[in-house]
Amino acid sequence: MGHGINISDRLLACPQVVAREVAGETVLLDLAGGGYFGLDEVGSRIWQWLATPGGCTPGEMAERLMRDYGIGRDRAEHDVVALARSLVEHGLAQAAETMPPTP
Amino acid sequence: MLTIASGSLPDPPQPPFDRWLSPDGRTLAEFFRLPAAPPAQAPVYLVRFPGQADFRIALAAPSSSDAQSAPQSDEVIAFPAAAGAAVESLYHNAIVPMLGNHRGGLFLHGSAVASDHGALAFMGHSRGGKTTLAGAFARAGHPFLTEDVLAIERHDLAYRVLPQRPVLRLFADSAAELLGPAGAGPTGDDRKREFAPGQRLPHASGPARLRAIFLLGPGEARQVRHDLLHPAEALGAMMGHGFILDVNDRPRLRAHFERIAALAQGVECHALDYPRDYAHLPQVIAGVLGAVAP
Repeated sequence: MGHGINISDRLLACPQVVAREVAGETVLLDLAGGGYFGLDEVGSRIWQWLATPGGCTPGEMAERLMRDYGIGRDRAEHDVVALARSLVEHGLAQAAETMPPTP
Repeated sequence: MLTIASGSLPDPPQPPFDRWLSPDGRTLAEFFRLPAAPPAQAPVYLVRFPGQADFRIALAAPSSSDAQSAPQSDEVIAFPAAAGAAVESLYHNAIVPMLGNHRGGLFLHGSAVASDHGALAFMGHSRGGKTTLAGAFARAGHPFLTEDVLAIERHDLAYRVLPQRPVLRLFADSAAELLGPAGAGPTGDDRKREFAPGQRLPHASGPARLRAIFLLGPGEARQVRHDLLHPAEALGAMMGHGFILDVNDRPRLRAHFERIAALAQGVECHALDYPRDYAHLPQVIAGVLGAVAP
């Protein structure tokens, strides 16, 4: 599996990121760093799952993509992990275990 | 309101929290927070344009504030760094749009012209050709609305561009191209010079409905090229052309993002690139007008 990302890691959208759906795609604004990033349709869905309470694991997201798009497991897991790794590297998502506890 | 003071401000104790950089990495502006004199609660900023001027900005007190020493309206004091500094230009083309966005407006870095199809806006980085393009359109019979600050407002379920200062600030080569001998200036002077509108380069004095936005490329295209942008692409591109006073003011940054997102969805946006060669300007104009013709 990808560097730093395991299929069973629970990942969450970082709270300082604002997401805006624009004509079927999603643009993310990192309020902390000021950067903005675009996600296509599949990326937008992955982001929605990461932004739900409790987040999601790459495994769970891959299962959903397999079901919704009829793609194979290898491809689904590859695509999810690749995007998840990119989001984590850019500080837009992180592992649930690294999030500070809510008061 | 702008006050021009003499003297200089001491260097702030803290490093800048933000910088504007040119495409080639030069620092265009630095942003500092200054301590507000108590009991004022509104922030005070210093915006420094190296070698040109410092602007001390004391924001108006929040309406719910009990502070009586904070100004009731935004106060801007300029400290020119040198004689002949373009303080008025910096104020109108940077400080005013920053404050406008801070107060919930929609100000972007760009030029605009009034065509038969509505206002056409051109966004790009410094020295990217926005002003020359506006001047070329004006020369071709499409008056310029603004050359550096796009002031956009919602009006009747659409957007419109508001005219700004009737001035074109041109470098010597563009001035010579657009105005001929009338554009000639002192030899060796590589600064921008201000030109008032006239019969040759008319200015539009009233607002115009915004028909389309063109985001200028770096000039690497070998021929004129324009492509319709997906709104998400346009949003990302336009975020780089906003005037943001405080990038750490998250609610305001988010609100600005939302306004730009709405604009990207509400107005047709194109990527435009062309060789930065004056001979291509007629083709650029024809291409742009063709892209927006019904």
